Amino acid sequence: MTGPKDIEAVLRRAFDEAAGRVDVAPDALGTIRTRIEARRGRLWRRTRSGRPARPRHFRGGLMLGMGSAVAASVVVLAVGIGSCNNPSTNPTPVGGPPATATQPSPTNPGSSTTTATPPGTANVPVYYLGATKAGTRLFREYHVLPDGDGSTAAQVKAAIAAMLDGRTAYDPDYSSQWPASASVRGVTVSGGVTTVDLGGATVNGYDPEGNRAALQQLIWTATAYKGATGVKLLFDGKSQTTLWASKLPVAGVLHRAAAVDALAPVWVIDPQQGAQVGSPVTVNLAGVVFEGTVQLRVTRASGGAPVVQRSVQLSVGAPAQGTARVTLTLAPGTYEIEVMELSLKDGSVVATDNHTFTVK
Amino acid sequence: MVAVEQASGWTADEAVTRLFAAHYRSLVRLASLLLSDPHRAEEVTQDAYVGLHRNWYRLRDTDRALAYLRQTVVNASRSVLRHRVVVDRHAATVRSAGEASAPSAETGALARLEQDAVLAAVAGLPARQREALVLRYYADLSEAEIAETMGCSRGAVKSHTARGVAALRARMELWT
Repeated sequence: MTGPKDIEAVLRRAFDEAAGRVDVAPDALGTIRTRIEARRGRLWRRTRSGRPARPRHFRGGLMLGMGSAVAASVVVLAVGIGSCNNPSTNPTPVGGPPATATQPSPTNPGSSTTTATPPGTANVPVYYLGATKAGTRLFREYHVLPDGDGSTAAQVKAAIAAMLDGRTAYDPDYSSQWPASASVRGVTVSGGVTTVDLGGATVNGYDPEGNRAALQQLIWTATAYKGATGVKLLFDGKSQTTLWASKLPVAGVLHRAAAVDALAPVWVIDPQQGAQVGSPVTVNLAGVVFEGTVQLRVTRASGGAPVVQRSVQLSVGAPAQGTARVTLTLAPGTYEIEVMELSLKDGSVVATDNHTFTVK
Repeated sequence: MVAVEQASGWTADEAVTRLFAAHYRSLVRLASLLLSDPHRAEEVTQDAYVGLHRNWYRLRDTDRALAYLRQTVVNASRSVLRHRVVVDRHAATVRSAGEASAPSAETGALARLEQDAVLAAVAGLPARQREALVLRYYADLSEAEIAETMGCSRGAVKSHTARGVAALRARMELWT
């Protein structure tokens, strides 16, 4: 007969002995740090260069005043019509999203629905940089910004002003690689070409990859409206042939690089970082991934097993950017949503994007 | 153990470094006992530290941070096991039983045989029972801590532990 005490003793011995045989990788801390750095990407670089990283609890704080001023009127936007609920605005989708997702253009997912914004503001797409295994790539957020006279040019100008300062990103993983002194002097739009006049933007750290990504960040932000074809850049009112020490060609009309080269492999479009949403929650994902298959995981911010864990089929596979919309019913609380591209070879995470949001 | 008042001033980077030094090895071992797979155990534990860094602004003290790490490791191990094909698990159990029965002239070979058989039996238990046993007899956690880590009530911890022990006893009686 084996008594309970014997079992306990045998278990303790067996566990201790088995655990003792397990040793850890000598470079484990390095591996963890590398992964953390990959998540934060350029945030560290910016911190080191003297610009403080915005503490996480401040995210979305820029918009607080605006959120309380949500008005009843509906602005149907000419630019950057987004399905995205801004973290600070009351996301009351007028008429609701269409029952079936319309096929958006691959380079501008989420532009199929409208969002109500306060008068004098527009919901515009702003591109930021983030670190991925493939290098520095673009992520997109929608921001409700004052849009001046409401013209396309004014909306693009507002988007670029936000884009130049990476600290405006809701997601602390996103940043900008434009010099801190850069400002937007003027924007005009004519025949699908956006002309952007920048001030204080001609000196930047030498980082060919980051510099190229920064230029794409500007081009994608400046050509987010329907019918846009390219961008002409002026620096303090004059055109230049090259930009920065990495000699990026900037003469003539500049065009977006291919999605597969410029965009991050996966995006969580909705809910945005810090968003407050009602249930059911509309999740918008996008990705430039092989066969368009991504993994979706939703976890309570307090931890615990994933509430949702499933694969999602995007509308198209690489090299185009596919999109998908998923509706989830979630209890009130704070969640983390993560979309991942998994390696076909070994199932490891190739690319990821995640946001924290709250269900009211 | 590091004092809480020190911890509250740590940045996320410092927290990861210090909590790595203090707990990484034991967490890997914990995950390894749950998963019977040291390699996966290490991955799962590294994930937990990356998560800790991300969530440090909410944790901010070592007690909560350690509880977070433990919880994350246990949850992640559970989900790894859920996805592991049943056939694979069975194969692993059979394999480790096979290794255990290899003849050995070393002293203590019999004890090793018994331990391996116990581990194989533990690996065959339902996930919750295995967690309860590992957290109690390896990690030496209190019932309340186990409940917190597993995300269930203390009553549930009691019943998982009791059932696990009963199942193991039934098997051990077959051997002795």
